[in-house]
Amino acid sequence: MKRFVIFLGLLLLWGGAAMGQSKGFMELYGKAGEALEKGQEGITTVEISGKMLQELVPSKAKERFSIVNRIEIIRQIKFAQGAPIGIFEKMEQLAADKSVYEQMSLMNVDGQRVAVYKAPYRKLQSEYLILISKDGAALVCDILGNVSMKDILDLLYGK
Amino acid sequence: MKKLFVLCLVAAGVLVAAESDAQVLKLGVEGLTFKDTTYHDALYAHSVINVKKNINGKGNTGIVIGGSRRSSIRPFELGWNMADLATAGDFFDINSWKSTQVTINPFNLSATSRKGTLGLSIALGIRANNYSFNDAITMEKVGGMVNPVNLEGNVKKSKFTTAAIHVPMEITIGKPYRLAFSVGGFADLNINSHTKIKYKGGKKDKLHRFPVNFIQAGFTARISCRYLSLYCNWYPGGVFKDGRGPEMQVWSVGIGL
Repeated sequence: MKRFVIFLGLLLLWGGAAMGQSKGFMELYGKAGEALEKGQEGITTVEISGKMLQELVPSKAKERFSIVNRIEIIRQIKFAQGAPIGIFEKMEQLAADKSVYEQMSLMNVDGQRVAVYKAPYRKLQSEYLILISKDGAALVCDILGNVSMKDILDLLYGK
Repeated sequence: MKKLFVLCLVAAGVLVAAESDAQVLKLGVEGLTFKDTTYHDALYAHSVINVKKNINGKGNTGIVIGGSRRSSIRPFELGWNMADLATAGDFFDINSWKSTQVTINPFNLSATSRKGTLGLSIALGIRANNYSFNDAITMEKVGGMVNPVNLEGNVKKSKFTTAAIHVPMEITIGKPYRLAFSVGGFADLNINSHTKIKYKGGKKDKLHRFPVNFIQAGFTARISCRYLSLYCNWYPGGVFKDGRGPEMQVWSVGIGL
């Protein structure tokens, strides 16, 4: 019985880790998907797997340590100018939850307000939640994989 | 000559160029976008030994040896020379299989169209042309003229070699590392010429400074496919200065890697 309880505990822990993106993010991502299905204009969701990214950027994929070989999945919610940004605001509230995310930086890149948050993911991996806004348009980007803050900065500055 | 080759390779190693990524990922309010800049740069300089910077991680800078993917001129070429003598029976009778042409092009500059299907390539390198005699003969310079000398004894090999600074230029149609056809010309600035006789037993003899053309210009045609190219060179002016050696045209065919 004791062994069974330990096994069950480990299974639950593994299941939680394998889920990937935080529960709160996935709920809001799901809501964005629902809004899209209902025909809400101005909101789009994008999901790019690491393999897809490698296909899109083959020259980077050839480099052994390139970020495209270390990203597991990227999920994005894009809000066009004038679109309701309720989900974006909820995402900001979620990011402010210090029990889940750690704020890494708040900066201005090319006139865009960029906030980067980090949460641990599996062993030695990370989840980065990036909130970008400019002139009423906004983007929520969540990256899972073996990435660092330097990788995120390189992506933001297009290096 | 060998020292010159080594010097050239060292120079290629010292004068390294940083190679940047051809595709750029950028994250902004528009989402994750990527820009393909593979053929966006009109002018591209490349040396045979490059330090490739990996911007994504620590300590991932590596040394890459190889040519430019946009240039039809390859870093290393090996060819075989054939002499087409103006006077039949002249003494410059060479064995083409043993008369090799070795070229190293450490520096390359190419300009391509946006799609990379039309380009102009120019390079700087060194070239050695070997002419291995069929018979046991060599050459000597008498009164500024080149004369044949019959050799006696156990001659293993007798050859004539020129070394030059090689400046090729080619116009390319197609993508050199897929399939491309190039035509162009080259100028070889001769810096050394000598005969070499090897005797059985290890003894060697050398004679330097023959009246060769300082500038040996010629034409090239080339087919490139992936990592290999086949080329044909034609030197209409021959090797020696007018009236001071056997008149000939030299053809060479070879492979570029």
